[in-house]
Amino acid sequence: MKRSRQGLLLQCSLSLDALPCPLDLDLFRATANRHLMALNLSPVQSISASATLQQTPATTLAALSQAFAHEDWILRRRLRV
Amino acid sequence: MSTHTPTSVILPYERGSTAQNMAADFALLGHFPSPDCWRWRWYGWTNYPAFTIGYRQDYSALKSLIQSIIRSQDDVDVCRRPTGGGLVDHRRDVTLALVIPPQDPLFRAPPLDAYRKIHQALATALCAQNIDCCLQPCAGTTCGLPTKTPANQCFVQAEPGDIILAANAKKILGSA
Repeated sequence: MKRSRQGLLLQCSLSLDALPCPLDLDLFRATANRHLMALNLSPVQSISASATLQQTPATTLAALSQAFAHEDWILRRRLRV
Repeated sequence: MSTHTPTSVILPYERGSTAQNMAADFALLGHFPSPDCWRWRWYGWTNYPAFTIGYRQDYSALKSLIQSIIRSQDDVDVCRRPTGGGLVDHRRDVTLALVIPPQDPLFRAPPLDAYRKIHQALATALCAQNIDCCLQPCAGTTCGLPTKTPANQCFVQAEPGDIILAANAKKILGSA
């Protein structure tokens, strides 16, 4: 979890190897999306399939990718991302 | 005069390297054009084997652990996450990054509340496919407090709020 002024970031990982039976991934994501949307109590909820992080300037994403790939970040020396 | 109504935004599924994915998650938090939206993205990995480590973990201490997990000296795509937690093996996983905007009550709630809400939604989706699972309960008075000795590795030990199998309490989903 990372909390900042812009929000609360959660990164989740589901281990497929730990499941007792195969999972239909598309169905799981679609069902999970519906339940996650239900958590948002705003009066109108919508899915915007066209919304992508491409709206973020490419230079920003590229710079961030470089920063995350930087050895100093892997070793967590002084590097801000 | 228009009024803006917050919405949920689900980004398209994408694959990337560990650095690209961590950068995209970071951008999802701090550079998203609609900052008052709930937004999330499911994603995969282009470089295998892919591992991520927690923000506070010591990478030098984890190198040998990663090599022992993959049983090889081959190159590994590894990146530090902006979030905490332990080492995650992404070779066979489903990954989700989600941002709760600051005006949402869950943003101000105790961290465990956010984990539980999100995990309950995901557990319900798993149960819909006959995977009998539930959330790891709290252990007495320590509930909601950081674990003193967090596991180096995700999926080794379930923390309160993680999704576990009902049959054997094995951890199947965790968040950081």
